[in-house]
Amino acid sequence: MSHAIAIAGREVAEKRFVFLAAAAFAAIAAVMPLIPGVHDGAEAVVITATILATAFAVGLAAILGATIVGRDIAAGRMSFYFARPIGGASIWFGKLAAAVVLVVVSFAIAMVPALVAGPMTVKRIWSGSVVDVTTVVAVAAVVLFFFAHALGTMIRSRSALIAADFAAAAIVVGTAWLLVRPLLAGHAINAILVLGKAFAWALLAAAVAAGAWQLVDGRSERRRSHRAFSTAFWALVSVALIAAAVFVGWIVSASPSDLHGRVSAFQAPQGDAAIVTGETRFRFDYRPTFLAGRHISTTAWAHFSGDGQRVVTMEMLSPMSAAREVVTRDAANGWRATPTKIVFKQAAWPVVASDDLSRIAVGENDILTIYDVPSSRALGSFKLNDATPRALFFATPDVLRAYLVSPSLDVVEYDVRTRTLQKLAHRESAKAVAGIRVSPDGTRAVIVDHDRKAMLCDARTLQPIAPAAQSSRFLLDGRLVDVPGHYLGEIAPGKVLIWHEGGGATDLYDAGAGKVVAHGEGLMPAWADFWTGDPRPQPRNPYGYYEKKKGDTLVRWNPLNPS
Amino acid sequence: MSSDNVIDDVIDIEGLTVRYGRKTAVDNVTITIPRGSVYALLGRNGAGKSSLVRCLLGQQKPTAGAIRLFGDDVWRRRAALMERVGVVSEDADAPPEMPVAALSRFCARLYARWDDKLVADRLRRFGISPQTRFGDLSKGQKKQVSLALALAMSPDLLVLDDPTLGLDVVARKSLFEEVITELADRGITVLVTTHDLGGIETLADRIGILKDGALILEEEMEALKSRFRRIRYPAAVARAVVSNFDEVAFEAPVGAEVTPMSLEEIFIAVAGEGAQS
Repeated sequence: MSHAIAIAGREVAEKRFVFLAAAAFAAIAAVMPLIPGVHDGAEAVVITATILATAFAVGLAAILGATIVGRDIAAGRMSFYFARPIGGASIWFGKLAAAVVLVVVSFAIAMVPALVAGPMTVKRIWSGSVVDVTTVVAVAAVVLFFFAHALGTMIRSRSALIAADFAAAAIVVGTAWLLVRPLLAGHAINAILVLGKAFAWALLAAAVAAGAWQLVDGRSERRRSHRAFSTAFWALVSVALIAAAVFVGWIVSASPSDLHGRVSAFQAPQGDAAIVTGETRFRFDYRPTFLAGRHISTTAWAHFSGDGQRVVTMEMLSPMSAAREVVTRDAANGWRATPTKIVFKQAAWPVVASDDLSRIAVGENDILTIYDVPSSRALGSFKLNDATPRALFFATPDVLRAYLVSPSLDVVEYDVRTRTLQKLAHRESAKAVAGIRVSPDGTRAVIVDHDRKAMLCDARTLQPIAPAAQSSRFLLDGRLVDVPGHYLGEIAPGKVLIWHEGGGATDLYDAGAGKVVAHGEGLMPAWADFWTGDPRPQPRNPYGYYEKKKGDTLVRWNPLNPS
Repeated sequence: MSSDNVIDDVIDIEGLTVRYGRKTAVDNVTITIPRGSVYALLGRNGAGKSSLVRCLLGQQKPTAGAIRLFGDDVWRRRAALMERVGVVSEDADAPPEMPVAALSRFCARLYARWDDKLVADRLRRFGISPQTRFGDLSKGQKKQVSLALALAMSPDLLVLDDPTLGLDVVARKSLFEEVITELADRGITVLVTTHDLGGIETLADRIGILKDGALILEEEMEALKSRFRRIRYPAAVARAVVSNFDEVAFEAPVGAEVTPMSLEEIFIAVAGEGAQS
């Protein structure tokens, strides 16, 4: 320790001229008010002093990093120390301490005019955050110091080992990206920040330790010194990467049972398949997405086949972009993704699939396009002319029907076989349409206006048939019934799930009996209702996912078999 | 083994080999230097002396072999061993901008034993102002300052790596005669590498000659000088000698004049161009 202090003192004494240079910079800032045209002298002094002090400190750090050890070794001056009873680590830490003193004191000297001009002006110019600004300067100085030291050591050794250094750097960057990628995919920004900070500290520790080892084992030999530095640095960085990999591995090892808090699930109408996503316990803000227990990419939209054995999804291609691809997955091959090459650069809306999953219709840039999923071909498209496709569905795999609001309501059908768009109905309406519900066979519709009046109409022509209750819903068998609550879906013929917003409970309503037959107290549906735009009644899986209101836990409940 | 009470050999070099890539700088050298002796390591430029000295001081790790100072491995225990070793290096490597006094103060903080008076006396004797920057000193003065610093910590071993390089005749004389003799008399072990063979001739107890990295000769100075002699023959005898060389090589024939060879002559004979090692 005393040797390190002696060396630090010697190094500072040797380089004390930098304090004079810093004072010269301070003098430049101090005379700023004397320059003609400067209105606010204090502000000019603070701004100039801040810029000059920062540039001086950061530049000095880079120069010291490049020279404080590397130049002495290259010039054969390190033997002066090594011929004396000083350990290599003492030499390194002495020189490091000297560099810190030189940079910090120089920065302080160059900032003196700013402090004299008025601390309040400094706080105002630095947006009130003196600590933040000094932290940024300190980080920049530290990074540049060690980067310059490493680069100086490598270049001065004139060794082929520098190629290995660049290869190692590329591997580290690549590995770091591989580690961050799954966290990005899981939207774990906090986890990435924690990992990034920890890794930055690890890099700093590795650079400090490698510098010490460079002199302990490399001593005054240029190449051996380079080898010692690189060996220690990359070994320690590898350890840090392994630790990071363990951290990331632990985070991404989350299983559906680790989900808690706000969880959403999109279930197949039959069977156990479900796309589940949500926050995970003790894993920062990691939000993985699972399908049948298997990690899948973040899913923006999905549609299961009626038997629950296949699904077509729209999944994020990369955590770094908004691009997404239509993907098919099949239970028969373990739900592995089959990409379709149908890719969208950004969020596309609306999206609907035909019941047999062979076709999808996607709205993008005011154009609605119909794709053949197996062949990835676009079968046809039409302009929306700024109308909003309020509801749309495949009447058959070849015919797409759309209800376009602009705010008049138009009903159109597009036939992919003839590539023709046919307008079926037009209804002038000053009031916006609040809801469109279509019968399963697509023949009848209930149109709800914003004034909560509902009318049963012909679904193609919009010809009124009869007034309807605002809460009326079609069942899968075609019946139109009045549902006493927020309609969630039908889990069995005539059995409708309803949710009471105020009460925080889910009930099973028997439309035939006209009464609630099962009550799920405190259960909120944890359903991801990907907005499909399909206005027809959708079958729901009876064994659904629910959040328990106060327990933050994900539970499954089958109201047909409450036990 | 670190106690020097039982260690008579201050320097113990065993099978030292130093390679730089494919080039062998020091080739399997074994040297033992007992306490109190003055050992001169000679060799032409590039013979491997500097590499050997760097290894000896623990500044460079040998490719193979072992070096012990006072019985301890010098690579592993360099910092502790340097407490007992004074070094005057080939290039005066002290920071050039440091005044001599500051240099002395800096070194004083590093050693348990330090004699300020010795430094001051020596500087005075050589007319060096303590306030002079090291870089402003002449070559000879730099060497004297380096020597003063090396001696101020009362070393048990003094390593002089070509100490007279670039010095004038007076400075060389002063260095060798005043200092080395004194140290040898005080029982301090000295290892000196030098090209100044005349200066070292009367001081060295033992000579080692490196050629192309190999130690081609290692011998007590007295034995060396008695073994290498110049024999001058009268012309008539020379004819007989030529016909009977082996015999006359061991016993000077009648009429031959036998004179001792200088160390320089021996060195040229052994390590010079065309010499058979």
